Amino acid sequence: MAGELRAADPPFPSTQPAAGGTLLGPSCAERSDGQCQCRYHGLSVTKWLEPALAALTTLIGIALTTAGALIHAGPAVAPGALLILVGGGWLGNALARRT
Amino acid sequence: MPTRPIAWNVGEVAIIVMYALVAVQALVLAYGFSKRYLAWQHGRPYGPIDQIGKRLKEALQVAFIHKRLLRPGYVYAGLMHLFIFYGFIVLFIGTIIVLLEADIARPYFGISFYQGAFYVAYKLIINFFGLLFVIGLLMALWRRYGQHLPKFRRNLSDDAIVLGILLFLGLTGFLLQALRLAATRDEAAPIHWVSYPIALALAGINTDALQAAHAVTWWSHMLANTALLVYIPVSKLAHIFTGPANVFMRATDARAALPLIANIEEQEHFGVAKLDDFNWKQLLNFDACMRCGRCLDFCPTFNTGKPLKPRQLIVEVGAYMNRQEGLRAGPAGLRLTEGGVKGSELVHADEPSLAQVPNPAELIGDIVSEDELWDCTTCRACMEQCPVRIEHVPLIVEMRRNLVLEQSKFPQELTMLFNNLERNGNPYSFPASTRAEWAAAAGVQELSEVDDPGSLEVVYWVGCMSSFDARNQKVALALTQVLKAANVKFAILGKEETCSGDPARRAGNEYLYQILAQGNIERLNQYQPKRVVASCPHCFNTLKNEYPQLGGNYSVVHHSELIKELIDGGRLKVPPGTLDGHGLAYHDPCYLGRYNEVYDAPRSVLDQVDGGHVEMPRCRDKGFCCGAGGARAFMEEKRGTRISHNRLNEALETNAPGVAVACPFCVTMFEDGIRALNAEERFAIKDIAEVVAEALSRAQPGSSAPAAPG
Repeated sequence: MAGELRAADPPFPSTQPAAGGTLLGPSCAERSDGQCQCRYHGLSVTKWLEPALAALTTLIGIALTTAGALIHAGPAVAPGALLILVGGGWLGNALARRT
Repeated sequence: MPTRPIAWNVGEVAIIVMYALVAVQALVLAYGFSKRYLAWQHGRPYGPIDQIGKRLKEALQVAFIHKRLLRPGYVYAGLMHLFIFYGFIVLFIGTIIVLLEADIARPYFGISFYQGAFYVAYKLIINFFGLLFVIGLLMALWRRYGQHLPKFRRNLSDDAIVLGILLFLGLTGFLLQALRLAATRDEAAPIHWVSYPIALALAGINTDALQAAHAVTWWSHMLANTALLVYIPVSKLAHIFTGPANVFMRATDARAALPLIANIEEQEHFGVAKLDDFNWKQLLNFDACMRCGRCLDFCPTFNTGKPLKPRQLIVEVGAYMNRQEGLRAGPAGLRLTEGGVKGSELVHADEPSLAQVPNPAELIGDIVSEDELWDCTTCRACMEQCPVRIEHVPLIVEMRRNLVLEQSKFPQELTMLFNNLERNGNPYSFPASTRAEWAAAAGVQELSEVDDPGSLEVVYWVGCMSSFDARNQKVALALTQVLKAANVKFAILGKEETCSGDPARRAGNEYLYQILAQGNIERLNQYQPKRVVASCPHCFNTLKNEYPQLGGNYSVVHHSELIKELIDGGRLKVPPGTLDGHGLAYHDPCYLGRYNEVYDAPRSVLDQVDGGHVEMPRCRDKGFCCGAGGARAFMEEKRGTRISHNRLNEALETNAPGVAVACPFCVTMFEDGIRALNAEERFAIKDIAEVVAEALSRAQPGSSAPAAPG
C-alpha cells in the first residue's frame, strides 16, 4: 500500500525473518533466548558484521581528519569528516536495530 | 580586507576532538531516531499518503513560516519560537560556511570567499540572528518560568535542559567572538556589532588571559553543542523532525470523520488495547509533541480539573512507547509526570516514574486511565490548536472502541444509552412511534405522507433531542415556523428517523453506530432528498461527513446556514431589531465550528435579526465546549467542576441578556447550568432558530413564538 511504512524497501533492513525462508527461524521477539536463527542473530559473523563495518568507517574517518589536522593535509579533513558522519550514523542505526 | 583566522587559538588536538565528537553526535542521533522509527513500525498500516504537494506545502509552512504556531492569541509564543528557530538555522548555516571555507574551498580549490564584502555581510547577519536567538530563548525562559502559566507548572527538567543548553551556546558564541576581537585587536571589530561592546569591555585585560578564556569558552561551546545534539532524540527537541513529519502525514480526508471499521461483522479485534493496535501514523503522533500545552488552553477537561490532559496523555503514551522499544528516555524524560500537570494539582514527588510502571504494563489502565478516556468531550479543541496536528480525538475514540466492543467496560450510564438506541432508535426510553408527535401538532408533514418527495426542497433532520426533549421541541417548532415563513417546501422523516448514531460512535460503539447509520441511509436513499437540513450539529456532522463512508451522500446544511441563505436570498423577511437593546452572546457549538468551520452563518443571522451579537473571549476555533459532546451528555459529570458552568460564567461576564446557540445539546447543558447558577431569570438560552422565530412574531402582531406541545 502506498504510504505504508512497511512498504517495500524500508530504510532499514527488517530484523524479522522472511516468510517461508528455511535459513530463518522464528522472529527475534519470540526467541529472545539467543536461539534465534534470523539473518541477524543466526550467524555470529553477520551478527556483528554491520556494526563492525560502521565502526571501521568511523575510525577511518577519524584517522583521516587526524592526519589532516596533524600534518596540515587539508584535503584529508573533509572526506574524513564525511566518513565520521556516515559511519557514526550507520553505527547508531545498526545498534538500534540490534538491541 | 576584513576576515578572520579560522580556528584561531585552537590547536590541532582540539580540531581532532571536534571531528571525533561528530561520530558521537551522529551515532546517538541515528540510534535515537532509529529506535523511534522502529517503534512506529509496530503500528498497523496507514495510508495512502496522497496529495504529496499539499502535504509538503503545509509541512514546510508549519516548519518555516510557523503557520500554526504564529497566529492570533499566540503572537508572543509564535515569535519566540520563530526567533529561536531562525536564529538556530542561520547560526548552523554560518558554521557550515566556515567549514566549507576551511575544509573544501581552501584545500581543494585554493580559493577563499570568507573575506571582504562577503565576510562583512556574513558577520552582520550572523550577529543579527545570534541576537534574535538569544532574545527568543530569554522569551521562552520567561514564558516557562516567569509567567506562571498553569499549564507549565512543574514542567521543569526537560525545558530547563533544552533552554539552558541553547542559551549557553548562544551566549558563548558571542563571548568567543568578543574574546577574539579583544585579543587580536581586530580592526573589523565593529561589524561584529553584538560582540563589539563586549570586546570593548574586555579590552583592558591582557592578551594571555583573553586567549586562555577563549580556549576554555571554545571547549565549553563545543561540548555544549555535542550535548545538545545528543539530547535531541531523547527529548522534546525530537519535534524538530517529528513535528513536520506528523503534519505531512496527517489525515487530509474528511477532517471531521472518525475512521470507519470496515466489514465490522468479520472483525475479531476492535479498537486499541495495546500500542501495536494503533496505526503507525498514530504512533508518530506520540513522538511529535513539543509540549507547548496549547491542547490544554481550551480543553474543557483540563480547565475543569478532570483527569484527562491531552498533552499528558500524548507524552505518557509516547514515553511508554519508547520504553517498549528500549529507548529509556522518551519525550517525558524519566518521569511519567514530566508532561505537565497531573489533575489540577501540582505533581507530587511520589508520582510514579516510568521505572515503577508495571512491566509489562497495560496501555489502558496502567498508562492511560479509563477515567481519562471517558472524560473526553471530543470537542477537538486540542486538535485545532496543536501546532503539529496531533490527532488526539481519534486516539481516544479508538481506545473507547476497545473498551466497549471488546472488554464491555464503560460507564454504567452508557448501558442505558446503548439499550435505548438499540430498542427505540433514540437515546431515551421514548418509543420510536412517538418521535413525530411534536410535528403532528404543528402540522408538519412526514416524508411517508408526501405524494411527491421529489418536490421537496429540503428534508428536515430533526434529531432525537428536538424530537423528544420538551425544551428542544421549541427549537424544532421555531425552525418549522421559519421554514414556513420562507415558503420552503419541507418534510421530516418522522417515525422513520432514528438517532444518527453520533453518541454511539463517539462512545466507542461503532457496531451500534453502523446499524443506526445504515438504517437511516437506506431510508434517506429511498427518498433521494435534494437537501437535508439539520438543527443538531452532531447529526449535521454525522450525515455530512460520516455517512459517505457507508454510502450515504447527501447535500447537508446546518439550520443556521439555511436561515442565512433564506435571509440573504430575500425569501425570509425578518425586520432588524434588537433584544432589549443588547445582542446575545454567541456560543460556538464544537461540531458546527471546529468540526465543520461554520462560524459566520450563525453570527450573520444574529447580526441581521437581533441587531448584533456579543463575542465571548473564547470563541470561534478557540470556543469552549458545553460539555455534552462525545456522548458526555449521557454520562454523569463526576470529576472536577461542571464544564457548562465554566462556559456559562464566561457568557454571564459579557453582560449580555442571554446566549444564542445552534445546538440542542448546548441548549440542554446551558438550561441545566443556568438553573444551577440561579441566573435563569436574567439570562436567556436561545437557539438561533428561536431568535429568528421571535423576530418574525414581533413583525406579525397577533402571532406568538412557538410553544412545545404538552
